[in-house]
Amino acid sequence: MNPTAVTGHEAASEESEPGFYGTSWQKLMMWWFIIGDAILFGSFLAAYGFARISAGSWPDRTQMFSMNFITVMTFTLITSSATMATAVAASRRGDRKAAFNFTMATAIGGIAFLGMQAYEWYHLIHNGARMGTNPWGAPAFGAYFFTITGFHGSHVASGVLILLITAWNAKRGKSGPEGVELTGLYWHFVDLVWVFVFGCFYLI
Amino acid sequence: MSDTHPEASYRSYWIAWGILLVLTLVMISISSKALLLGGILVKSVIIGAWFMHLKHERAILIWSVIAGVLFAGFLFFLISFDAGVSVL
Repeated sequence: MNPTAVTGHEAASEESEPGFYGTSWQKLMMWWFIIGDAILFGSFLAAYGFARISAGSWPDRTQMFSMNFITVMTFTLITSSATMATAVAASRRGDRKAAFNFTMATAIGGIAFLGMQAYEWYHLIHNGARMGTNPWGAPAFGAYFFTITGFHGSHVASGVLILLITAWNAKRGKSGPEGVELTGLYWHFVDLVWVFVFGCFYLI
Repeated sequence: MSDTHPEASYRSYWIAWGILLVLTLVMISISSKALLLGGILVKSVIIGAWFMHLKHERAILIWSVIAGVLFAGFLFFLISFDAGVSVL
């Protein structure tokens, strides 16, 4: 980046030079990835909206889901996002122990979420839901539900792996504030996608 | 980092957490689709601005993110006519 483009901007961070976007290229690339991934989920949800409206009637959500259970899942993920934000702040303060602890707490939240999702899938499949059929109505429901929640769940699973690696690196001092922040950005994005999935499948 | 990001207090994150939990509780007890969509948007803004620190980033980055989200919304707009609805 041309240094004159950042005139008036505060001093560069120790890790890299902020450019036109005012951030390091690492963080910018993470944001680019997130935008791309958001469009992927946006397309999925748009297709789901299309299928649901075209189908005319759609399975009754109160018949299929236990709202209390889904609310607990949502709370777990939101809480893990708050512990992640705390881990990033701790890492910035140079508190490696707190950064490790809060990143681990976030990973545990992610694992708990995955466990609950596995249970929910088991419950639905046990009751006869499949990709192409289900006992409650429009056959397309299963395909959209399992594909979209499955895609989100796989994001949570890879997020847990990244969190564990970040926690380990933060503890050893190999991962600085920016490393923890990049992991945090990804994790908050996973939480953000759940806000939409939760809203579109369980509430609307 | 503290130059580009004012030191965020732990407290502000837990306040955001509390707001998100309350919003979730409110959303599961209402049925108006417009209000639910509004709730989803408010929650996304809280997560993006506070947890993902977007409010501390430059306008160009913020607008890049918003453009991406608008594009995703545009995809739905394009196919909504085929689904037989006008959006909202």
